[in-house]
Amino acid sequence: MSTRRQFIQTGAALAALGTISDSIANEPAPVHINLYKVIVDATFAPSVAFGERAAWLGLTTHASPSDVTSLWYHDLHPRWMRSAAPIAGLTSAESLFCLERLAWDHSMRLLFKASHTALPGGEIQHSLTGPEAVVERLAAGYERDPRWASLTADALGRFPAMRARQSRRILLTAAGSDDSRFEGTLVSWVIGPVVETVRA
Amino acid sequence: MRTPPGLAPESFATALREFEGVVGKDWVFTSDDDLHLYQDAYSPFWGEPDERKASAAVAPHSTEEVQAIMRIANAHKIPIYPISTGRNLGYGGAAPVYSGSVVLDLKRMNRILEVNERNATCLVEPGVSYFDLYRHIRANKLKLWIDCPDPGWGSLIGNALERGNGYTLAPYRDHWGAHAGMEVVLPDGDLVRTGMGAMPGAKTWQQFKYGYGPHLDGLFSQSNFGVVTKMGFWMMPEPEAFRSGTVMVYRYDDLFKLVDILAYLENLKVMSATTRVESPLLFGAFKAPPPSPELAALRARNPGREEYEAFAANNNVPYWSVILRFYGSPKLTAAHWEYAQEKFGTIAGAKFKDGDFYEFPLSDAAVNRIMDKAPLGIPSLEAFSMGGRTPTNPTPSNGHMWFSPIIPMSGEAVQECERVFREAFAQWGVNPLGLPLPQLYHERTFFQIYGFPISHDAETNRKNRETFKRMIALAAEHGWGEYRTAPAFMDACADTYSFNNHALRRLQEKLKDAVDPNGILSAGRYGIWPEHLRKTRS
Repeated sequence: MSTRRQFIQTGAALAALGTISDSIANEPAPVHINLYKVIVDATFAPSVAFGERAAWLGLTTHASPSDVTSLWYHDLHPRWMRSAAPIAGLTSAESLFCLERLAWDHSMRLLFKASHTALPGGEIQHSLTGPEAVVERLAAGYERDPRWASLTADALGRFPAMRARQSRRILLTAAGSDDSRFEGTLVSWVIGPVVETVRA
Repeated sequence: MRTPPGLAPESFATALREFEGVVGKDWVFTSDDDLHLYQDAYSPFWGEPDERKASAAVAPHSTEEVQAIMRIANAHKIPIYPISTGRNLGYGGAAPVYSGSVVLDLKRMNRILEVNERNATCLVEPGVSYFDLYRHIRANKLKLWIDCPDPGWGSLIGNALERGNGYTLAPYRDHWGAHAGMEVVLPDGDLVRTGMGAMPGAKTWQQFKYGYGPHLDGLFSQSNFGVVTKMGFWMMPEPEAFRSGTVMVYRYDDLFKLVDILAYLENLKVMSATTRVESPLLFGAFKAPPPSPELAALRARNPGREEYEAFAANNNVPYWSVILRFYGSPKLTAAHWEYAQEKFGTIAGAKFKDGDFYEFPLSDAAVNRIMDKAPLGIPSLEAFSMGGRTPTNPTPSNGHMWFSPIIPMSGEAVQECERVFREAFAQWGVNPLGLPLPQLYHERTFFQIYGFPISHDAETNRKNRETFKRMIALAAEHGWGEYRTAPAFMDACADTYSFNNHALRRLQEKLKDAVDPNGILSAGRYGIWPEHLRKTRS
């Protein structure tokens, strides 16, 4: 027996994102998931930049500390009890650890994850796993533009709704702009619903 | 498709089809994507061939479906491993002890069946989390508290069956001790209720724990004799007030009297909340800011006791401290705190500091402002962020495994345990996590906590597992036993409970063979293996 899965299209819509200045945003809009919230952690400058870009794209942002209790208890859980609703973020790995597991209980999965690690020499290592188109777009963007957090917001804000071939890339980039500097590792991610479609 | 050990793929496929017939196709999981969710996030075998993995998972919605699944599993000899919410992190998570088992995921059975405000009891299913019950109480404005572990996202039933603990008063913080009545599906699919639940129409299932005749409930905790599908609990009435205070003493030898008075007050139930003995001087208090440069330099030099005591006296840094927590009315908590100060005041030089004071109920905004939520029965996920990346912890771990032997509640035992493990660690060349300070979770005993971070490096994990097993054996040599452990160490811990040539294990195996002759349920859990696996157990 095998199980085939496909991302549910509930909540998917053509994104009305307004004018986006860079080349990623100017590409023809496919069907995107409709993000319920974009989660940012104001402790980290890149997360703030990510959130500002997401807000500029017209997405609803939510600032949360690394302890996601309040976010989950007061916001996500009541929303998810009605139906699955995708979220994205640039946070600590600990926040994602909790949110991912809480999302499992509402038939959602981690659809994209990128670890961004500040190396001692000032470079940033990006390790991306997700739909090939998103991974390749981001990899190309990171190599030409130091504003990696904003680029990530652009890509995750217009995340494809349909299941796609998965890809993994690891790349090193320069330190980035001031609002992209940080220590340790941050993660950007998308959590969204899945649905059983066909069983053989 | 993965297949349980020793089972023909055709037989397994047949069983899975029969499971689907019971729960529906949507609730039998066999894909790698789905089974990934049943891996242990804190596995000490991360990425190694011995990492425990499920062959499939099945998620029933009712007791009747659990019974049907057990009958099918018996017919096909399918190993089954029940989980409640699978958040038993550090103790195996959702992964089976016996790799290749089918996880029986009880998360969908998440009904709060009854909350009795007048009697302060509840009856819940295994998928009900502490957050669920807390939300129910808040939504219905009930004058009740839960007692939750930290983090509080797990299952009431799962944590109680593991004999986990919380943070409020003694009758409630012992989660197993706070239970009252169970409903259990036996391995053959039969259904029993314990305590007063054995009487049809009983009016006091969640009030009178014992029922009539042998009290069998204990057979179903830390074991593999049945699948618990309902469980009742005694709850704590919402107090009018909470008050905390800190006792501080300044000489090393004050430890002995400090612990004796703490035990006295706990056994009188003047102060019966979870707490710990801390050493602001040696290690820093819980959630305390970084030490002064002078104190950091002192710790780095690690001089003799006299110099530490002189620093403690001259800089008002206690050698030992204990936070006491009181529940009741404003007057009652003030009286208990005053009485505690009177008792601890017999220690020369003891000082006291008033702590938090709250009156209830609290608004949501007030709850959000509270830093230490668990002692107020408020579930939280803060523990994960505390282990997260900070300037002082730039490379957070991938989880942990804790060694927490039970020791006597005395200063002498604390001293001996600290010495034994300090010397052993020096000899073995290891430096575990944790502090050699006693935690008061279970009544009348302490436990120490030592641990290791989980690594994604197999060699590091292998060395830490070896050290962990040496610690289990060393503790047992001194009469200290684990109260709970991860699957990787269940056999090693069970081995230390060996009175009369392992008479307890022999009894457990007799029971196992009688109740579960096909050995399908939770093989190996807490060191209890079915007959056909005993010779080959890890």
